[in-house]
Amino acid sequence: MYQTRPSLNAPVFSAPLMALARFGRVLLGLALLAGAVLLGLLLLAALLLRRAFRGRSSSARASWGWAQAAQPSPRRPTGEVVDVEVREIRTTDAP
Amino acid sequence: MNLQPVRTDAYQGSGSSSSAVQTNRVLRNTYWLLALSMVPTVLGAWLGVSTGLARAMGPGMSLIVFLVGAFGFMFAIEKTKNSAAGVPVLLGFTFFMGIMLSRLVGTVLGLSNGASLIMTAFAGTGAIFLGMATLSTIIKRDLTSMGKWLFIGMIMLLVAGIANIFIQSSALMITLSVIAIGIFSAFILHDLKRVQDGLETNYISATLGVYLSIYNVFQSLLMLLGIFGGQDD
Repeated sequence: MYQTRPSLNAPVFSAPLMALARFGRVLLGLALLAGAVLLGLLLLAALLLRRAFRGRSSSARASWGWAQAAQPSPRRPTGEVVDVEVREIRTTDAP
Repeated sequence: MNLQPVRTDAYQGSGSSSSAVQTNRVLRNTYWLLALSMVPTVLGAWLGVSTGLARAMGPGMSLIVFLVGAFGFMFAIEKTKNSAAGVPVLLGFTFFMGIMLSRLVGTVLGLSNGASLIMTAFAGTGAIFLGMATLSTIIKRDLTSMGKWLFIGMIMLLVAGIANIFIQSSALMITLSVIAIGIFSAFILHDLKRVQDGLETNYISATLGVYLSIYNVFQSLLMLLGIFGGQDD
């Protein structure tokens, strides 16, 4: 029977790289956790609202009509508009 | 047009032919009342745009007006749906919803091609309704279970929509409008199928459900057309 041993020629990762990989995994875990919590909260809100509306979809449908009417005005999202002041640059003649 | 009040209680017909007659009558009355309900909606929207009523209200004020008006009307519809008074109350509700629509209509009319965008949204809504009405006659399977999923989807849409009133994100608004068109189109199909299956025997309730779905589809389409096809010049 052979026993596997760590090879002596295995590449050695630098400590900062390992720390970065560990940090990435932690970050990914936190993002997944936050996503799961958000989804849970949304489902809870949905259940509570469903109870509030007592299964009558007309009230919820009309409420959506109001919620959509209260949305921002329909304008194409163009990103941030930056005012740029253009000044004329005059170079003084060299003496 | 023969709009006689129909009882909500389960139909106690003597045979399948009389049940089919009953279903056809409810469906016919629903379509007639739906067509009629467009008149007060257009009048309400016109009044709202010409007086600037809805535009003058902030989000807080419009919420209060909506809660009092829409929920009051819906409560009244629920109470009067088995009597002849149900039809004018429903038409009053559609007039009120027309006023609530006027803010968006006014904004779109402010665009140079606003009138054509409104006509396009109207035609698009009509096409969706025709498509769903046709589908409801073709589909044979029971769509009752679909209603629960649609309701949950709508509630989640509502939560996200209310959040976006504060976030004011155009990208989220576009996403929600696209999802809303899908959900409310499916609601039209679901509601019409319920009438055809004999599960909804009151045409006033049926009209209310289909009207609100059409209203939301129109609003979402108009929102999307305003964003992607609106011209400021």
